[in-house]
Amino acid sequence: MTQTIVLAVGGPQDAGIRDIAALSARAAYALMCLTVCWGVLTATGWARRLGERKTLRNGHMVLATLTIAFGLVHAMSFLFLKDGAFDLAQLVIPVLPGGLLRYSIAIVGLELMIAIALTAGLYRWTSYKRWLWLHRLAYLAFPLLVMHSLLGAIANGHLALLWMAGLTLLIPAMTLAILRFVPTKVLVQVGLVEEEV
Amino acid sequence: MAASERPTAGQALQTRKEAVLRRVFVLLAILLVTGASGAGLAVAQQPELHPTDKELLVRVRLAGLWEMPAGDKAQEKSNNARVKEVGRILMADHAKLDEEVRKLAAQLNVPLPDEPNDDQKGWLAEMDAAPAGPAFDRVWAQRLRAAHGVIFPFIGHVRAGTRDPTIRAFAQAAVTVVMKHMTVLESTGRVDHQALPTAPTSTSAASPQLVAASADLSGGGGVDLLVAIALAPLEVAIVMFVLWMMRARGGRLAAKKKAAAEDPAGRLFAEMR
Repeated sequence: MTQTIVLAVGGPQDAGIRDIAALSARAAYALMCLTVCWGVLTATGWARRLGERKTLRNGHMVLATLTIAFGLVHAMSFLFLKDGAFDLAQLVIPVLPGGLLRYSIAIVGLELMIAIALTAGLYRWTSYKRWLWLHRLAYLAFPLLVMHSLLGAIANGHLALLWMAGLTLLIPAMTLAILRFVPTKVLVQVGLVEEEV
Repeated sequence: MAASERPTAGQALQTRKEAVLRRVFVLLAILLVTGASGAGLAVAQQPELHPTDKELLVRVRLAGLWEMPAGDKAQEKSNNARVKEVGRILMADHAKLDEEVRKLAAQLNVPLPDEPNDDQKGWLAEMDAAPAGPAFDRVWAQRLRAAHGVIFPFIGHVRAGTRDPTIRAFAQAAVTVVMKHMTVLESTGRVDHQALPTAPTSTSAASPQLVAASADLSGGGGVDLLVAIALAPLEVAIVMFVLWMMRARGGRLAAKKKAAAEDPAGRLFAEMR
């Protein structure tokens, strides 16, 4: 269906670019949800049966790197459209006159994720608490990018796909992210964590 | 228990592995059951297509059946480069649109015609009868532009009012293509706008049903929303179940201490709470 839509706006070249943009967006969305899941499972120790802590943490970092890479491919692909191409400023500056909300929140979300990735190794040179606050910005970037995906799906007429595939990936990530902030005592009570003996 | 009956470390490890495997099998079974029930729910709730949704597929198919031969005629009978180019655009777009509509109709069980209707056959005959050159160009551009002008509002109404997400996406694509075709046909300079039907004088052109439906927001997104609502708690339950299976003796506090001892950098994650 995407092919047919773009027939009218830019020909076969734009059709290919928009397909790449759509594919990379879906890959980035799926990887972002997996990154959140894996990060929470690693941080809380729920996944320690699956491997050593270092391995788990590296898995989280690989997923996060792939998320950002696919997110960048998605954003940059709009530079190469024949009709209605974005310029670099439109991809980098979140609030520009005439800009849409769904683009603004995506730019903020992606830039936050890049900042988190670039500063991931800074904990050796800064106080742990400062680093932690920076890393926790991921919990802000995540809903912003989910909202961008939802609005993008509505705008492109793919809402049905998002309801099914998008929510299937989103719900585990959201559940884990919420559980991350539930006090340990409560988790023990519901049987998700065993009391120390 | 006598010392000789106590399980060895190897046996204990084996028992633990078996227990983990059992849990994995149980989880897979649950995933299969919930997945199947979700799919069943989606299939069971597939609503009947509205007649206008079906009509959209039929009319787009009919458009392809006469516009593709019309595009071909432009290659044979026109001397104008732009007319020929527009003819090629029409053929290429309708080839793809036709492929899409046949796929969609097969999926939704909508029967499609195999040949143009009588009006369209008449327009093609008119093009055949017109002498090659500017006279042909005028007949060709005028007939095609008029036909696009008729189908354009119809597709727009379906796009605005349909309850089916697949039809909505298709109508959106089709309305964009029709708009493009009207524009490129007019770019040939052979369209006489005075001879085209005038636009309706008020918004009453929209059917009362569609207007009434536009005010009824409660039914929007029906099937997908229901499926999503049905699946969301299941997914939450599955996540909780997986976590419950993954819990280990010692809880998170022990895990944090152990991890911090093994891997100083890891304490950052363990202490994030």
